[in-house]
Amino acid sequence: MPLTDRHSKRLRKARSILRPLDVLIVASSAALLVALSIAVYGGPPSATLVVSTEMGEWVYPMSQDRDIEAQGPLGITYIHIGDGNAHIEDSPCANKTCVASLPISKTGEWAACLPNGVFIHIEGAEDDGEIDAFVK
Amino acid sequence: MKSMRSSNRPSFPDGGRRIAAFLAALAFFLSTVEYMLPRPVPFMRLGLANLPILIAVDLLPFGAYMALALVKVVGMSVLTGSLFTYVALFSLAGTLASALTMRGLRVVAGPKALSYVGLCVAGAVVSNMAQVALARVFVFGPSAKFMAPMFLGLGLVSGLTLGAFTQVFASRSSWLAKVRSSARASEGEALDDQA
Amino acid sequence: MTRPERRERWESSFDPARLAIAGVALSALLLFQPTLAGRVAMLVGAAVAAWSSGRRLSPLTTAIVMASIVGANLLVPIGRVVASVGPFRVTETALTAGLGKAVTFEALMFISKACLGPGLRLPGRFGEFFAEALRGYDRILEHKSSVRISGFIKSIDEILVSVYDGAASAAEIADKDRTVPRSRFRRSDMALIAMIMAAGVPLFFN
Repeated sequence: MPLTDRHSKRLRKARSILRPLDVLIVASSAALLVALSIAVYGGPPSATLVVSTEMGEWVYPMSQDRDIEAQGPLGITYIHIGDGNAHIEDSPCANKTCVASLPISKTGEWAACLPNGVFIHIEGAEDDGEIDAFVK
Repeated sequence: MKSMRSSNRPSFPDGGRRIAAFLAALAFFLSTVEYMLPRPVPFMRLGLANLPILIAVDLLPFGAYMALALVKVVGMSVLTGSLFTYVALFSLAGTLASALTMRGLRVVAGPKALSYVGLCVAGAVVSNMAQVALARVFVFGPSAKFMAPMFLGLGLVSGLTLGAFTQVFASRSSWLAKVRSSARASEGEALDDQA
Repeated sequence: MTRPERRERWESSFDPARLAIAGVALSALLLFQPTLAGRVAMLVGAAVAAWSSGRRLSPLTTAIVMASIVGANLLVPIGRVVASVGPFRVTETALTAGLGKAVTFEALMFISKACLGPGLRLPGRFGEFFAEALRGYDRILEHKSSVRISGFIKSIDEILVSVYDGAASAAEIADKDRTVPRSRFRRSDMALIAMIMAAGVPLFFN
């Protein structure tokens, strides 16, 4: 009995310190913590664009817009990342099939300018659309 | 004039300047004390120096309150020799953000609905998030997001601890009681003079 | 020469206000340095100055902070792959960015340590307010030994009560004798100007 007595006394004391808005603030901070943790650690690793040329490998996050110049034997291949898509904008090759190809955005997709030896592909995220939409 | 005071803060003849300076001195002192205490976790800071600001939410007029927050940041940066660094910038942003948040919450809710615990948790969380946002720009880059949950969690824990501590301090401190009562007395005198 | 001796010599050879102004100028010049080499040079110079100033420094902390800033920047790979360890890739752009930020961070730290002394008086109303807070701090510090972990609140409260009563009269006296004599041009001012000019040179050659 004295134990529960002391317990309820302590509970009363805690109540006398904690007011309604305290509970609200602490609870919403805790909820924010959980949500933030899931968003940061729970999601798939962010997708990256890998640009391979004869000179080596370059890596760029797909989440940031950027213009890339890749040097090949014929000249510079211009690649653009924007709104989660990567696309070859111009290349010093004859037939320009790479420029005509569709933008790539999902893991495993690739594009290339074979005459200039520039190969780009996306790796990182296990992209099945739904998870991505949830994280964003 | 009376309607200006939303919660029942005492009024001071000098606008609270002297109490603000004294609370700032207390903040410097508490940070010295905290420096000497052992730390359970390396990143874990209780932020004892914020106790005076918490007390000031219900004590000082707005001008003196913000001056206290500012002098706390500048003073601690001068004393630790970090005034011209990003650290001082982070601490300025964190302190101003949390000072405004706590003051704003007090406008919405009086002491009966919101104790120092809730005030302090809100202040600590806002302060830590503001610092992570600045750290992203100046130091860590996009990777700063990996630290955000950790700093949010630390803010929650330290906010709860310091808030509870402040609640106990405010209810027991004879110094605080004295400041309040002497302010009331001088307020009474001023009213007598007018009459 | 021991650290306290260095500190004494440093503080006696510079005017605190001019040293602080030089600190602001040097910090700004650091942030505008166009090259990493310029920032590294400033880091080295600032480290030497901070050491000479006799402030307490921790090489270990400096190393850990710099390493973690570089490490954090490498987490998101950007640019040419320089090396790869398992799935982790070290990329050139991320590495340069991380090094730049780490060097800047620590150089600011050293400049700040070297250029801020206890003798500094901030100008204006805010400066007076700040000085008043510092005087209160000094008086509270005299009671430092009576702080106990058990009964922490009570011991702090007792200090506050005893200091607060004395503060009222002391504040009025202290406000009177605060006319700081403006010191003449010093030889050390030349050194400060030379440092600022040297740090500014790279800005005109990029």
